[in-house]
Amino acid sequence: MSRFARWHLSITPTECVNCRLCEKSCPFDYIKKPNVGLVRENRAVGVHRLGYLFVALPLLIALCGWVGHRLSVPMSRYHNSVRLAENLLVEQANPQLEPTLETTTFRTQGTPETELLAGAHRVRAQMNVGGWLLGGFVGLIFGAKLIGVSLSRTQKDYEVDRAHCFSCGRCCPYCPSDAIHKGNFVPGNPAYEAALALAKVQGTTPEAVAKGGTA
Amino acid sequence: MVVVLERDTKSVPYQVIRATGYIAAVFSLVVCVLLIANNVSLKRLDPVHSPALTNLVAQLRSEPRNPALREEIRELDYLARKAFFTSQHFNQTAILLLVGGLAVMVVSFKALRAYQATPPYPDSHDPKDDPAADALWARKSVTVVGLVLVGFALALALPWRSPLDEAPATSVADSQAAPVPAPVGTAAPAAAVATWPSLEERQRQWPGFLGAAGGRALEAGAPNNWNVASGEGVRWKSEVPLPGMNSPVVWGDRVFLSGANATAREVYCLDAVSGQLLWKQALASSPAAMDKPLKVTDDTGYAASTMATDGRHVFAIFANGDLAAFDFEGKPLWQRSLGLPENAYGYSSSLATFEDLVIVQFDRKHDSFLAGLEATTGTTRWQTARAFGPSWASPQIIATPAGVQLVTAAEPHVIAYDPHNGNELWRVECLKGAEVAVSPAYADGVVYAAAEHINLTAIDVTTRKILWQTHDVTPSIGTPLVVNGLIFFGLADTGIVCLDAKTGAEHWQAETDEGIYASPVLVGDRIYLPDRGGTMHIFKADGGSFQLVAAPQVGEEVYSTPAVVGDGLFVRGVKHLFRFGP
Repeated sequence: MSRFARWHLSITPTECVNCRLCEKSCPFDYIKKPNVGLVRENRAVGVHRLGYLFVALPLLIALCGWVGHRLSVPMSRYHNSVRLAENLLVEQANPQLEPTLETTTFRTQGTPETELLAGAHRVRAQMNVGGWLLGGFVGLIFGAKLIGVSLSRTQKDYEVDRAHCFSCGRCCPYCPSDAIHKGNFVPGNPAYEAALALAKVQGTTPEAVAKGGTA
Repeated sequence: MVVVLERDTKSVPYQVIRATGYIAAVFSLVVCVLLIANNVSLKRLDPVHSPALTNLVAQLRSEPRNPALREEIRELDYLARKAFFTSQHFNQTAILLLVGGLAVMVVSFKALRAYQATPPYPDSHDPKDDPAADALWARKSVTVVGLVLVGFALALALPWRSPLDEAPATSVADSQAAPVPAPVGTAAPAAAVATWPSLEERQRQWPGFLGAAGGRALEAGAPNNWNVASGEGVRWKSEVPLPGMNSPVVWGDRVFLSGANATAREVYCLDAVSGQLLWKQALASSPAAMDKPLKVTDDTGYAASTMATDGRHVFAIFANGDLAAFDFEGKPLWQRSLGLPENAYGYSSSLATFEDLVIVQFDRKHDSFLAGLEATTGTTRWQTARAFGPSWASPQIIATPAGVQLVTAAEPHVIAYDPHNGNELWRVECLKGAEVAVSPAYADGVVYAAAEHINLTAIDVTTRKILWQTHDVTPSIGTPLVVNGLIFFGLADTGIVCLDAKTGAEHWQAETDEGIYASPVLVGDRIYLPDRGGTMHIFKADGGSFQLVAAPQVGEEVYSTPAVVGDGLFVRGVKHLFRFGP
């Protein structure tokens, strides 16, 4: 839910000089780079794909819902009542089986077996509904993810990936234009050292590299 | 454009850190190897069971007085133990050294990495900078992950078969066990009986606990005297295989009773004329009530509940909550498990029959209920929850001016129900704090309910008011007999009591040598009441004084209530069933 965080780091487009120094500063690679000139896919192909994905979304939800519904049977066994009821029925069908501690205890408590079975069926019904809902939700997530990664848009500036950024601030010292961190653009600072290395190659100064924005 | 940043890797600090890291790594590796080797040898080293020591010990057994051998064993044992503990000590030390070495190594390499760290700089070309390819890769990844998850889920779910799928919920629509097919001789029940015996017919027979007329026999031919030793007055005497406190039930030429112990439950049918055992049926253990022995008192046992019959079928219930129905030929019709009744002394409420229903009062610690089950199928026609704890009394069907009612007693209420549907008709609170074992009695529009040491209460069924209450002397276990404006009952401690039915005032009290668990039965103008010692007290139903007619001996202990049909008096002792009379 980082996407909805109020106080995220952001890269101010008007101050960014596209120096690219921040590209590798993020340990998680959550700074999105400009993609101008990089999009090579035909727009019509992308639009068609999106259309197919939107059509497939309900089907995907239904499929995953059905899988969740089927999965509710083994999952419901993690409920004590269901497991006990199943054990009782298995022992009933196979008298040669040694009764388990649970079934033996249940029998001594005097609760009618049918009461347990009714409870187990209730749990199973709830799990069934829950299986449909959870499966459908998972299908929705998958579908939304597929649609999300199929959406392409032109990006002119460096941007923080708001969905994933932790706002750890490690990128801040690398930005030579950040007003807050301008005072850090001194020897020892990674951005300064990187700019210095480039400056040596270009025969210019680190400040000039930072201002110039390209290497 | 490739930019290469140069670092001074020849500086002393860098070299020192690097050397330290490598030394620590080698050191840790060596310690690790030694540690593994030591553990392997430690596993082999068993100072107590080393073969050499075992051999020496065996040798010592043959030479117990060899001091040199004894000393050698001590020495060897000491050495083995010393080696064992040295290895253990080494183990602990090596672990510490390993942890230390690894720590130094990690710190060194971490420092080395920090020293070597280069600031990021942009590459001139990143081959991955292809959004379309990235998106394609992402789509593939999401699709593959999704397929793997779905496949895994299906692989898990599809082969799964739950036994619950074969136990449909509809079979448990009512909260109690559905009838299960009879375990032996299973056959479809006989065609549903469209009619049921009339009240007169029922009163001529003895279809349940206290018969069909509250302990009053329709005919007066039962004998006054007999001699078990000589056989005089004894029509027959038959041994009952399993014990039971329940009373005999008689219909026509059949006598029914049940017996049980901790592991077996049986129903018996005897020929009322000859006493011959016509059939015997054992109940299969129901899943809900098998294996675990019940806790019951000796006074109650495993078959305290008297059976009931509707003239076509016969019903029995046992202390474990198993209820079964048979036809008169002994063919099992259905069997149900009502669950183990949580009951301090053991379940003892007797069954009752009404029209085509068998009535079960199932009072227990939790989830008590009263139910009317269809006689032919065992299906629950109605069931009424009762917010009471356990009781030991039996339901009574009474014919009041307002219609037939089903009266029950349990702490703290006497409640009347409509036996057709289980709807509550009225209730009176009069048994607070009681352990109710005495079944309600009824006569002349008045219900008499009692609990030992609590009270005996008379309730007008029309006004539902308490007419009177007495705390002086109260019934213990047996149900009072109300006749001619008098109340008769026996005391568990010893004694027979006669009270005035209109006021509760005591008319007389007679001593007996033994306590009385049975209920009095009226035959003509005489009352039959056996005590636990086996003495049948036969006395006049008279309030003036205790007029003993006779006191013949049954010959064994008696806890149950006699049944009277025609001129036959059926009495169950602890071992035998007797028929007294011609």
